[in-house]
Amino acid sequence: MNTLECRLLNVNRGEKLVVRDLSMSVEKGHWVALVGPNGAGKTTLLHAVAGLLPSTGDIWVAGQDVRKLTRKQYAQQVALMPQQPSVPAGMSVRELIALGRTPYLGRFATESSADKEAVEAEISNLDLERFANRQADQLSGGELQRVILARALCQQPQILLLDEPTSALDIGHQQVVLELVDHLRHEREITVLAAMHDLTLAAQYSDQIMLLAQGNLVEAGPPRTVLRADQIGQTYNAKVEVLSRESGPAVIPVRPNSR
Amino acid sequence: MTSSPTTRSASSAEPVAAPAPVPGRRRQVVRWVSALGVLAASLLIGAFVGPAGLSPKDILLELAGSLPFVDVQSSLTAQQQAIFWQIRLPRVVLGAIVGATLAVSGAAYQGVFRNPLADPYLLGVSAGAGLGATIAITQGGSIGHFGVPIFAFVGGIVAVGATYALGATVGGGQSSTVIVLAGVAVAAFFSAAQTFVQQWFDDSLQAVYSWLLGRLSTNGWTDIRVILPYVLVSWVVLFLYRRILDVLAVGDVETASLGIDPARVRLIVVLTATLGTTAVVAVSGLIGFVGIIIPHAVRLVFGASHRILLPLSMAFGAAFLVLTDAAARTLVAPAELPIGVVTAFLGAPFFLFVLRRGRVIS
Amino acid sequence: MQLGSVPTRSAALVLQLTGGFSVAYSSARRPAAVVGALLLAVALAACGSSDSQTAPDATGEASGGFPVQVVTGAVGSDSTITIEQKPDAIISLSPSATETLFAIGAGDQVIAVDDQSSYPAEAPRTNLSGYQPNVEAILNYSPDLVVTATPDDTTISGLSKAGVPTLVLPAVSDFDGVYNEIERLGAATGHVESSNELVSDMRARIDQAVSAAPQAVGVTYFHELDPSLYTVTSESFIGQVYGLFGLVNIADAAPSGGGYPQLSEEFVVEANPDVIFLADAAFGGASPEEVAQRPGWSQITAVELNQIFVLDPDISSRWGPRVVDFVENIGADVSQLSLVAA
Repeated sequence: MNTLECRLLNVNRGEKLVVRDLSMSVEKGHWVALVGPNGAGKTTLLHAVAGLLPSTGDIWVAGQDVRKLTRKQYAQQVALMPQQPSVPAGMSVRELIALGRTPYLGRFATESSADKEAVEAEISNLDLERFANRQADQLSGGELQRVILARALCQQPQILLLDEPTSALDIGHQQVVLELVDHLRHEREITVLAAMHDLTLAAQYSDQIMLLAQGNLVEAGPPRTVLRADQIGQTYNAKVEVLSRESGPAVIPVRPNSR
Repeated sequence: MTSSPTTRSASSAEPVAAPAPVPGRRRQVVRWVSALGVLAASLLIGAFVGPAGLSPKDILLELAGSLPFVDVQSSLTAQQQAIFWQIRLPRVVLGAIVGATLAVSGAAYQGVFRNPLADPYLLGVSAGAGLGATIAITQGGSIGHFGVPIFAFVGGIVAVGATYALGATVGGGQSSTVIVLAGVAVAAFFSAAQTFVQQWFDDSLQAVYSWLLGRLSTNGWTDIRVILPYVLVSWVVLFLYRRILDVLAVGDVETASLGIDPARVRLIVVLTATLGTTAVVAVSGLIGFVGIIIPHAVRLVFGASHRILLPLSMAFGAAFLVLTDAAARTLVAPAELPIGVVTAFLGAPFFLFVLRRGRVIS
Repeated sequence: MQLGSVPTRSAALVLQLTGGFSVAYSSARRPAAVVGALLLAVALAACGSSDSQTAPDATGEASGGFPVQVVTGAVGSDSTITIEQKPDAIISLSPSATETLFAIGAGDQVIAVDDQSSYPAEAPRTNLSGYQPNVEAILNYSPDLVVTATPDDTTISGLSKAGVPTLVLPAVSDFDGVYNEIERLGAATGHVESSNELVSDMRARIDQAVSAAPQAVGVTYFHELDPSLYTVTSESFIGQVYGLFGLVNIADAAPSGGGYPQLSEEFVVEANPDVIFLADAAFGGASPEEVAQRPGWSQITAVELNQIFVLDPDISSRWGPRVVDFVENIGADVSQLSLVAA
């Protein structure tokens, strides 16, 4: 069964058409990596799928037409981890994570004890107990990503959208966060759609790769099929070599003049 | 506001690594008890002091005697009773209402615009209300008498709408700097228009100036009855939005992804805060400073969550304005100082004090 | 209507006493000019009124003794202006000066008066403003003398560059000040004799009014300048008028730099004045009925005995010849008081 399906999706930013006639379907529990050069429309596509941007075309989430969902129902199905999460001053980590319960609360309600338990459960799942009372604006980048992930998990989503979740992290923390996401999606059968910068990491973690360029889908498929040196070279205007490893293809930049 | 240091030192005893106030049961109790205690103390002080020499004992007896089933008599003369019940007490109550409303509205504006500097002045609400009230006053007659609140409200709404529209067209509504700059421009424009109207109808110049400087009114309970419906609506609605305001703190994109429409919340909260602000401003004139320092002080001492911020801002805002008005009534008694002068005079040093303490902790 | 100083927005509360007598009240700082003028006036109140102030060679109405030197500024000022010949194109930007000019027979030399100069009716009222003077608009009338109550250096120097002398006659602090300014206007316009006559006539009528009224010694009063309870103390010129009849001002306990404090409402009720004079009834402000309905005010003796008097705002706020009318009106009011007989 497909958790996410888009058909002939078109998204505008102002006057500009940023995503053009895009169709895709993602199986439940799969990890799809969105790759492509800057300005390819990755973030815009994620925001459109999250229902944050108006789009034309159809989106189905867990078999439901999203146009029939209220904003809250939508947020119960789809959670977004933004590229640079905003961290309000004076808010504790626990308070920030608890915001993830918002889609389940009545209009003016505050968290019930069940909601609080759900929050504590995610805090302990992600090993965040010792941060819980800290001010969120004092966390490091890796800690913050885990906190935002915990918040997203509090939404109990079918689909987790990641917008370059590790671009601000060093290689060690990148692995920690990606492993965590991978673990959780297996554990809870969450579908992951992630815009990713690092092609090698994308190949290692995803089941499918969608290569976008200027709002168009160039190719979608397993990493080994999509990540070809010639294709990457053309799309990114770069010189790369693709090594075939056990964990998947590894994309290595090559200095243009050193050949 | 002697409770703030108490609570502060309690939290400073915590390890430095955890400066966030721990919302433990005991901490919560301390927080509410201190807020209510400060409010009650300031109301009593407000009731006790004034140029007419009424003794605290008589005042307590008067208050007790007004309770059902309590039969005590004070030694106040009929005239002193009139002074207490019809002049001093309504003024204390009005001060509490005005202070609470300005502070809670300030906190709400700061929340929806995600800007710690947002307040009725910075967003142009005051300037717009000033223009509206000036137009009403200069028209004289029944408009000048009863139209001031309505005109002030319309002026305030138009101004904040202009600020918001201007900020949204330039910065997509995201950049708080743009909102503030837009507010400054709108405030300047409305102030200029207000000055023009006021100079044009110079007959009523003095009435306009009195209003602009701010003064807790001398209309007894009437003003309170007039503004109470608007103020209550604004309190209740803002309080309902306390959690949603916390959500809004993470920005429009994330707010929307959590299932809340940020634009709609902002519209409702701004309308509501403006309703409250302009209602009190219509009877009290432009009293600055409360809407910005009280929420800040509460944030620094008790934390930024609107669930705490809104009610505590109301309590401390009320206490602050009651005390400053008591000072305005007594410092140069039997003459009076404009309350706006006193709020700035007492408020600025107090705010610096709180700011310093907050800094030490974090 | 005039102001002691140009108001800066919301920094200064400019209290307008509805006619022309004005007080600038600043929240931060009282405008130095006004304080200075008042202090000077008080200090020099003892210096007699006329002889030392007017030009030494001002002799008769016919010759006028031009050119004359006339003291400009507050009473006792040491700056003078020189008027070369008898002016016949006078602009008055001060309602008080306008009244005086017409009272001393200089009315036909006046070509324009400001928008607040409502008396006498034949005064050529224009839209010129006394407290926001526009030099070009003034010069447009080609005046040879400008009289103003506002010591505004920009305007004065602007006019003097065009060769037009400006006679500044600011608000006064006592009766001698009133007479002094009338005499200075007489000297400046060539009506010395009739100005002297006016002054002695005023003195006589005031003496008459005071002696005709019963002495109201010990009767307390509150003079309301505006509904936010600005008032006058005995130190002010208005307060001195009440003092002539022995009335006691309830505001004298209030600290104030210039005699115009704002009182606490509960103080007014507690002080329990026997009489209330309303100077703010003009623009739908206060009325005896409204005062009686104010919360807590019904206990006040003045309300109980219905001793609330409405003042003509122009007469009670200008320091021209109609000061006499003000004194006579108060005398008439005092005669009606029930307490006085007792």
